Amino acid sequence: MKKVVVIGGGIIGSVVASALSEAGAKVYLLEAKYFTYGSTGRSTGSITSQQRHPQLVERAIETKKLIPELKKKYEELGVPFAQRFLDDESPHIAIAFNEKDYEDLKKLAEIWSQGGAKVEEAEPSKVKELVPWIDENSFYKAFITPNDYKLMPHPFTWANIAAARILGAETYTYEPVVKIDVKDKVLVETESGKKFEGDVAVIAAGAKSLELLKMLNEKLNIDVKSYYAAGMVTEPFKYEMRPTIRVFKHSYRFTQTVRKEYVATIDNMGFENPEYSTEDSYEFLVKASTITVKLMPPMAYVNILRSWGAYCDYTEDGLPIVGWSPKYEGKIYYIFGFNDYGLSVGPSVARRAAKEIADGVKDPALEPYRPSRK
Amino acid sequence: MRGEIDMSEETHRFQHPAIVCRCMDVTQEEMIQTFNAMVKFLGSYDADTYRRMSGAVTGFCQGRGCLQHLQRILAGKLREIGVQVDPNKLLPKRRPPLQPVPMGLFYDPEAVEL
Repeated sequence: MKKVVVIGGGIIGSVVASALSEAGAKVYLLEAKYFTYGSTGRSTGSITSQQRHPQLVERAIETKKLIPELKKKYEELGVPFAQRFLDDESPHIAIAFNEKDYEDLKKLAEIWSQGGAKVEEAEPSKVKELVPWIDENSFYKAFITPNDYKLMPHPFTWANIAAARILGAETYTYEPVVKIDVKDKVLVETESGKKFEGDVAVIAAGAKSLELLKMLNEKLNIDVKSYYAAGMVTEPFKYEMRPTIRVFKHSYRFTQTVRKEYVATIDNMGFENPEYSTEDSYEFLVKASTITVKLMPPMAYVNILRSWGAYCDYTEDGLPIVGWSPKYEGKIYYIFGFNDYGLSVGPSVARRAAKEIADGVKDPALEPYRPSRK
Repeated sequence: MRGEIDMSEETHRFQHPAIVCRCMDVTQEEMIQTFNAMVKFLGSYDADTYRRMSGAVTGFCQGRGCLQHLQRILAGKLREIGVQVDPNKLLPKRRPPLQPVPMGLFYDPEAVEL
């Protein structure tokens, strides 16, 4: 029985852990803090085909198909959160404020079509049908992907973890990894002194993966940088807003969760680290609020209850890093660098990656993401 | 009573449904069920996960009304399973703003290129 140590308890780690457990591997899932602590738990829950590469569009479409399959599988296993993904259909509306935005979005929209997504160009009046309180004079046009989706990342991640545990995985929280030794087996040691031995270790730690790369003394050709992101959540209202609004030039996303609060994120604030001051939190609140109120003036009266920061790992070519380590082939597997689309693309990629690890057969769909690429 | 969290047995025997989080309508019974599910299905029992899973402390008052109930119940249930904790140390992460702020107050079209 193959033993696999999965490092990282977010959306990627949880899907890898559950898929590997399904395949009969013995999984040890190690999370440095609590499950969903990283960028997974700080996202809007968007599952969208609005990606920057056609193959990522395909992966996002596959992720959406996976959701009902996983729900059914988990219900049969007796996972309680299977009922509570708090998910819904969610047409994603990419807003162009002016003609320049429109030209940029048009190029992206072609990529979405290439990847197999349904795309509609829309006048403001059409957007107003979907979001009645939008100010149709505040923007130029929009591109809509009507078949997109949304959910809440916490119950989805918990469901994957619960399934993994029912299938025999051991999971640990508040166990940051401090040492990884690769010999015949892989020995992973945590801060508290616990030791885990596996045939394989999977690095699925999002932005923290960069620290683990250093621990392994591995340098990849692809540059990966961790950028600061931020989000905020409002008081709850009656659930009225299915669509998700995006403003690409500001990395902005906005929707109402099925838990009824509105949530807005800026997935890249443009700097790597916040300073020790409240200025960066304030800058985010101004940016997200201004875009929201400009598009939907009644939102001016809605109260922000909580805001937060996050780190997202961005790769220089915008594609994730998925595959065996060039230095430790067959022993260390990397699956991180999901930019701002971890929830959309992650589950599809993670299940395929788990299959690669379990079967030893390379999946051609994952070829563009190999760690050895230049 | 700030600083003093009532850990007595009596407080665990509220007649249900006793609402402990008024913003999100979470009862003591639901809090206990959530704790059991959290430990059984995730093997976790940290305050941040408990907050998200139960819904307590996530509403309009952001825990002003119910944080001590979450702490009391979590510490009490942990004690039952043999984990001794100081209830005052069971704190989910606090975040800005300190009070609810309407979005309109941050609106600044000169600061954001639209």
